Amino acid sequence: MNNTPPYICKWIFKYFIPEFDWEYFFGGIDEVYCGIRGSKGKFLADIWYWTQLTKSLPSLFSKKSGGSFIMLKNYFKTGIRTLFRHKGFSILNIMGLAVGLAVCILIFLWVQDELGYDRFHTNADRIYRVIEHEELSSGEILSYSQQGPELAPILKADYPEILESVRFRVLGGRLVKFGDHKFYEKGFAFADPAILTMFTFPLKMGDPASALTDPSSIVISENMARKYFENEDPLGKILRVDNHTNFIVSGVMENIPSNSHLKFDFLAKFDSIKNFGQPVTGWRSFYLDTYVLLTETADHREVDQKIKNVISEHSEGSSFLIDLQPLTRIRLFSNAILTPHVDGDIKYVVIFSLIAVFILLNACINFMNLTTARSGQRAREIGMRKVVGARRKELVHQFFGESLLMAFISLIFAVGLVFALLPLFNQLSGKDLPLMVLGRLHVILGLLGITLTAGLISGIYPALLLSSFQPVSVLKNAFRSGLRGKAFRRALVIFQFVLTTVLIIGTVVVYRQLNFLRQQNLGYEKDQVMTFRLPGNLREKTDLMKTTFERIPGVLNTAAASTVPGRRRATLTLENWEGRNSEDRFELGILDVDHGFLSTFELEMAEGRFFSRDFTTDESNTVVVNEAAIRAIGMKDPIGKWILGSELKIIGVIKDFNLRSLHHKVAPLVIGMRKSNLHHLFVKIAAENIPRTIVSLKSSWNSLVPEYPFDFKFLDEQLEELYHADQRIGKIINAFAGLALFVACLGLFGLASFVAERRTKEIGIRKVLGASNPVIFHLLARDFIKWILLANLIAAPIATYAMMKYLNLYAYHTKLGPMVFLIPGLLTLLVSLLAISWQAVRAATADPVKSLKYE
Amino acid sequence: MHLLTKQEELLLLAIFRIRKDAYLVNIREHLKKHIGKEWAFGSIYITLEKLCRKGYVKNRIGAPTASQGGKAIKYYDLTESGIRILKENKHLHDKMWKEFAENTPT
Repeated sequence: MNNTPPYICKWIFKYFIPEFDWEYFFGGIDEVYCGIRGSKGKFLADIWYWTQLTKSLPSLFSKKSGGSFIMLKNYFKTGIRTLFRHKGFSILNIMGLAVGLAVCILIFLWVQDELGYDRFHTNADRIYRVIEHEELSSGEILSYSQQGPELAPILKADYPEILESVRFRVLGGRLVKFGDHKFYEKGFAFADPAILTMFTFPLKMGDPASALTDPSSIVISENMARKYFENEDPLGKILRVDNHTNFIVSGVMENIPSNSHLKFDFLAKFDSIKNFGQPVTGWRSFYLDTYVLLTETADHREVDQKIKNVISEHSEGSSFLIDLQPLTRIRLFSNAILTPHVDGDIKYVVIFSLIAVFILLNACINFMNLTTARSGQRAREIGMRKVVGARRKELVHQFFGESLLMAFISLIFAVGLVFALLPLFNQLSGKDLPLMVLGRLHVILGLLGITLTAGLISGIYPALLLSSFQPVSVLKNAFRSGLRGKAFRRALVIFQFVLTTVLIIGTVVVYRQLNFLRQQNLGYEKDQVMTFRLPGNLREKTDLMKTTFERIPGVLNTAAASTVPGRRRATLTLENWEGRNSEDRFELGILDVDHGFLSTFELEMAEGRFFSRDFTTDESNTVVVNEAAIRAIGMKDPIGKWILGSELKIIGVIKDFNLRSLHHKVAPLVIGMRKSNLHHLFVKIAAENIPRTIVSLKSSWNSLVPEYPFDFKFLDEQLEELYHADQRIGKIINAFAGLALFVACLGLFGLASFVAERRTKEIGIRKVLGASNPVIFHLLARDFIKWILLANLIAAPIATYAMMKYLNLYAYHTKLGPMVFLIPGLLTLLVSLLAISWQAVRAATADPVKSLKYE
Repeated sequence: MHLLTKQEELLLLAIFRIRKDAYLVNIREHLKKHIGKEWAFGSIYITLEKLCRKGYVKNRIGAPTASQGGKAIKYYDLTESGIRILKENKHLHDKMWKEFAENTPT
């Protein structure tokens, strides 16, 4: 075990007070530190260590040299005075830094939340999710998070390292009824009883060990208890689900924290899932997640090796390999896994952190630029200090001190900004970060760390440059204000604008891509299609409902299918078809439909025919496949050949359409007609008189199936939901790009006013000699325009590279046209011209007499 | 005669009472136990060093120990002049307090 106290802490103290004899001093503190660490843990011990050293500071300073402490006071005083003497610059600096810090804090909170997913479980570091892998003939490896029901019990029984295993599955869209309250519930989960003891989902009422022992018992969340039973005691109440199964409430759990990847409001015993059409035995139907709890001593990599082949050992002909994914990685590292609930991605964590760093860097650069540009004003002070004996190191410390002072003043404003912006940011990011997070210890330490870094970064260049002045030349007044470090300053401004332009280009591309997704032809008609769920015994009335609805004026067509386009669909591995002469295997999507599907979605056939009522055989042993499937297996003349099994004949090939989101390419698909799988009803209505059609649909629904609520969504709205995550990311990037531009322009504004001030006399003379206002304006703006154009040139290739990577996340994406680069270019140019024009115009229109009298 | 500050006085006494192997940590512990005040490490260490310089205390570097991460410990011992200055201070103290104890109205 590593018992050393925080290294940085020692280092900081050693660096700043080098004369001190540290060795024996640290020896003593370390000893006590180890004791505390042994009894109270590393975190508290670290805090103790820092406090002890900080508390020792005053004595250490007085020892070092009597003068040093007094000088510190002097530095502080000088710092504050400079701050107040140049109010304009100070405000620019503090404003920029405050915005930069505020963005950093917000993103820091966001990242904290993302990284903190699922860590609230007491056993978080011992819980794993089972992942299985399958290699396709293309060499591609598909990973799934879902398995068959028999895996979990075997894992627990056969491997001593696995203490507990839990099967978990959410079956969304259950109709839950209690008295007059009936709602469709998304978070209806089935799981083995151990879920309540293995994970940390504390119960408010009921006993975790026995709450789920009975197959008809159900645990509900506090929210649901309030929603269904209001103030009554929920225990023992009976909930009727899908109008066919009764559950008795046996426990109420606390609402699940928002940073849990497992989300549910109802929890029934796993075995009862058989009442909802899912098998509870077998290896082949992959539909549930398996979680395991390892013993404290087990190493998950060793367990991986042992359980690798479990599936093929028990289920003949399976080539799946399994391994374990740590619970705490599920939120951010599940991108490559086919699983029902992914919406976090480590990529976004990285991108956002980078953006935060960019913006803060922009603010730091402002500070560097403005301080060095005005170095002339400080030159005499520095010269004087040197003459009376200041060493360079002391001056370096002084300027670091000033930048730190600035940074900490900005921190105060930044925290204020965060307080004001947090609700907006929550809305933007879809998170629920409470203001209280700012009070948590690690957040406070994080903030101080960020501020310290910002202060040090912005101080480093001024400190080195200003402390290098030669006292003789400075005091002889040979020093020309602001000329030092001009090239470096120029480079910094260009760097700032490169960062900003890249961000803005990013915004434009994301925006265009989202637009593209919206307008992309999906291969089917998505407008004016209403979608209904068909739970449980409603399915038996499907045909009746369809014929009734079709008689309503305004209803054009009806259809039923196993899934809503865009949603997850079932898949299986295709390894059997007529004429197969290789070992090829493919992932094949499965869709079940009825006769109306083709006309409702206005799909087209490429070959053969669709299912028809004229052929009674259609319902049992015929299928339609899509073009992608035919391409994949390379079948010629597919009509009449069999696929999957020798009794399934292909009667037609349908033109490709996007059953999933546009992140994915059209995948091979087989369409069948298994009636029991038709979970959704689609009603295509005419574009005219939509409200009237809906009213008549509703009354007809209520007379047919009054026990189910009339609850529908339009398909195009549902498809929009597929891109919610993308839109959210787009909006956040958008906001941050704007802020980056704002911060960069603050700096430009400051620099412009500095340049104008320095050239006051020159402008006066030029005007006396007859220069017109536009000429003067041009004179001042010329440099800045050059810099920004150059920045744009540099930004273009960087942005192209980054954006190609982004667009490749989508199987279908827009192209990077010239507009993508022109718009941000013009925007930065325009905004920065605005920023400098106030100063330039003021200088250009100033009265030359006054400017010549200046100084 | 040198007038000791309260902290110096207490430190010298602590070293005396611990007798053997007094060093930063156990001196601090000792003071904490008997006086109830938890001084900062820095403040104790600085004062100890000051006392060394004045010759009331001399330090001796011990063998490296595991408890301090393999580093040596700096022990402090009272010197002759240390004991003398304590006595002088005590004497002075008693003289000044004597009247107070006798004549304070209760």
